Amino acid sequence: MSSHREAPEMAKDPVADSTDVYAFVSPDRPDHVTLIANYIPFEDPAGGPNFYEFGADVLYKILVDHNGDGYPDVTYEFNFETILGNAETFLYNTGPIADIASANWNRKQFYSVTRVKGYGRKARRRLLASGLACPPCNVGPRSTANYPALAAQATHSIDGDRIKVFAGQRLDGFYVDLGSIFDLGALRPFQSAHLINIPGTAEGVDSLRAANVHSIAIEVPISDLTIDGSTPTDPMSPSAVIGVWTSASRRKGQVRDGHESSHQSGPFVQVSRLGNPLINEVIIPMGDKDRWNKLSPADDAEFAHYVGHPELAGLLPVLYPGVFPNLAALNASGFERADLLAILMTGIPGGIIAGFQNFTGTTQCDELRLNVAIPPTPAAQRNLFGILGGDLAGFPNGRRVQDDIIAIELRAVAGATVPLVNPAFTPDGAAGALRDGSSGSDATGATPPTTVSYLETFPFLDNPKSGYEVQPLAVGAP
Amino acid sequence: MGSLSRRNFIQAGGTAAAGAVALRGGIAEAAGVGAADVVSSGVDHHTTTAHEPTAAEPVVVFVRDAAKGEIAVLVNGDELVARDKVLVGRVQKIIQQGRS
Repeated sequence: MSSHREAPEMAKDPVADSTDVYAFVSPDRPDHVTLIANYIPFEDPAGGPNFYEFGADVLYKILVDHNGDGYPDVTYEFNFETILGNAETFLYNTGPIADIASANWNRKQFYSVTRVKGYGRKARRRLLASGLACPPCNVGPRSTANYPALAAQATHSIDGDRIKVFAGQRLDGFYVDLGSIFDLGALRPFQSAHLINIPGTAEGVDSLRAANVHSIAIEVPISDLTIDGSTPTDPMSPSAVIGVWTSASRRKGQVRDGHESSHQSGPFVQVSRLGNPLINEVIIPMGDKDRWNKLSPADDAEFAHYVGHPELAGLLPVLYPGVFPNLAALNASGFERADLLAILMTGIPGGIIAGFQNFTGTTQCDELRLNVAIPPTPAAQRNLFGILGGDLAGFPNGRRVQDDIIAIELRAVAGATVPLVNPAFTPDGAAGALRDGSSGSDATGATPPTTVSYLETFPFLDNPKSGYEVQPLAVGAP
Repeated sequence: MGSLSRRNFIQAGGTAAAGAVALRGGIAEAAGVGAADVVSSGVDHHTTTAHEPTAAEPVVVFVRDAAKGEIAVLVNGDELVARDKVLVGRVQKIIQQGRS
């Protein structure tokens, strides 16, 4: 998965576990950028009576680096507060929740948004808004009958209507066949070629098709994020590129007193982060995953060798014998994957892809790099394979909610992007065809996913599924 | 030191040189003297509460480096680092007594 339960310690702390980050030029407001950070992986919509919520003891951030040094230049901080209406009932709601102020909703959450410019002692902080209401979780047709209306009430315009913000439950937009991939790297469409052969082929199964997440989405003017305060129109301008990531932090000290509730104090320390999808999931090895989560992108040079020599690139020729001979030869040569280092750690310099760059400099840091001068691709022309599919508005130019991250990164790791830095290399035929088949889309990336739905307006991730409407994952969800 | 007791002793490190205590009294009182040298303070800019750090709320103190007599005091959203070999020595004594 992108980053769901991606590190051993973080897997035990879901409210602080970032699952996905998205950054894209807003299709409905192209002078704005939408930034989304998802938390709480694998929410079962039926998970009551204590339905999912943000951690009131967690500091959530969405961070933007506009000078490529790996440190944040603009940060949005989100602090949550939980209000219990009636402590004498076990119920999440004591009647239908007709609006987000309903007295029937027993456990509400509110949050503040603070913008921080700069970093460290020179940082300048400004509270943008407080007391912003989250929507309830989607319980079912009796409790949350008109969920879209509840969600709409929780979409707030702040800072003089310059910024939109939403924080609450959404349908997880990511799709992946976890059940097959984590069964020794099997891809159902190609399972007959796997070392441990299962005859025939099959389309993938979207393991997240009935899972919700908690999203923090913010849509801000591009000029709030660029280094010179402009709204760039030239994609080749260095000021057109921003790097984005999210982090979650907890208090340094916590004491659980047997007689009272726990006490927390001290400064916040980072426990989770996420920039590019699948970095900590697949590239960083088990022993370093939790350490990686605690560091800043500015510290990422120490992990660059994992990107330059990814374990997965070595596994593919082993798991699929005879399918990746060119990749096997490339691995054997000791070739450092400059293509992956560029895509994931520095951005793609100009001169490699016509009319495009998202290079942030030589500092190696894991950030989701977005060239804000590339206009959004209309929905009908979107290609889920992003730049690999000829669509410059998609991953790895930022990341849209629909992008087929599994196919893109599988193909890149398998060698499809090596010719960008080594024209003499010929990728294996399979490299350009890899996919897990989970989205219901086709092999060209031209058709949208069928297992998950999206919105074309803020907050872009669709309304969550309710517990009443879905069946448990194990018996086949809709 | 009256408020510091074995009951308040929440957590001890793996060695006698490290430990953590939770205090409900004043820090200076716990130390027995006002002799701690504050060597650094980390003001938490993320904290929404604006009041000055006090020990009116529970305070977490942990020994960062026993050899240097260095302690860290976590109060509200801040971390105050001080050198107080007397306090560290007393913590070590508590650990030894607790194990005997």
